[in-house]
Amino acid sequence: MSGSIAEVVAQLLAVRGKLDTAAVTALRARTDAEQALAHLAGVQRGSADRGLSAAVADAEVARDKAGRYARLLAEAARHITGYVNTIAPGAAPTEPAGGDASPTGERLLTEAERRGRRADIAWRKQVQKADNTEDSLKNAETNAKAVLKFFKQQQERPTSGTTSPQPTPAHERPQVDNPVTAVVMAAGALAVTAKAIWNHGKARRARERDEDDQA
Amino acid sequence: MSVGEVKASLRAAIEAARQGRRVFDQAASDTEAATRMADAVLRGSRDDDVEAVHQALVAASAEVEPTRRRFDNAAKHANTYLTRLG
Repeated sequence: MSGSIAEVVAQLLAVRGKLDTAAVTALRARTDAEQALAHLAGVQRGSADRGLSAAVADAEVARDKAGRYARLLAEAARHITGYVNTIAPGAAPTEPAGGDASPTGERLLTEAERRGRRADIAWRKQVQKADNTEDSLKNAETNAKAVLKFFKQQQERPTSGTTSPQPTPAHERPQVDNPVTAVVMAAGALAVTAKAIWNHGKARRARERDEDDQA
Repeated sequence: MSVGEVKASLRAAIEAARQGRRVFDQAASDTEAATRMADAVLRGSRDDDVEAVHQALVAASAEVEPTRRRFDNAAKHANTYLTRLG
């Protein structure tokens, strides 16, 4: 690898790291929109206020757009990997150390979004399908925790035992792990947030039932 | 839902929307820096992946202002409703 190619590769890997980080940050913004939406949806039941409907619509679009933004950044990062591997084959591993079992940032991004949508749908259906909803949210929460635990184990595992097949500078990049971990954290946050809101709603419904009983 | 609970939910929604705006701004700022660097490094290349990188980053850039506006409007509309409740 010539000096100038090595330099270009190093710069592109730095760009990729920044894009990965930005994608995860955008996903956190998406989670905030999701949370705003859940609070608004709770208020909206029983109200036909136009301003409130506008707030709900805005929060929905903010959530979708923040998600699209994160996806586009992940897509750009993926193509940077493709280009780096064109000019310097093997310089940009597409999977973190650990092989097929270890999820890529992009896959986790998709997973976190899917889980977010499921939590959103669950929230909307909570009144009709109380028990099922609680189970699915519990599962989402458990899954997020399991993925996080898995990834922690991957990071903690000593690397000296196995020989690396590609001793390239790319392996020294610390950025790869952090965004991926952060995506997992974001996924967990989505599920935990939805769960907290669900629990709040459940407690409130229980109170309302008590009040009805007393009346 | 009591008026107090409605107000608490609205305040939480407003805070979440405002925080989302701040977090999104951070993502946009990081992306702008990464985009400038990518443009400088990839200038002149006609590789398919490079084209795809540019396309994705241009599409992302187009989403920034509309996304900011939606976060802001969500907070603004929720706040207007909160104010009307007294």
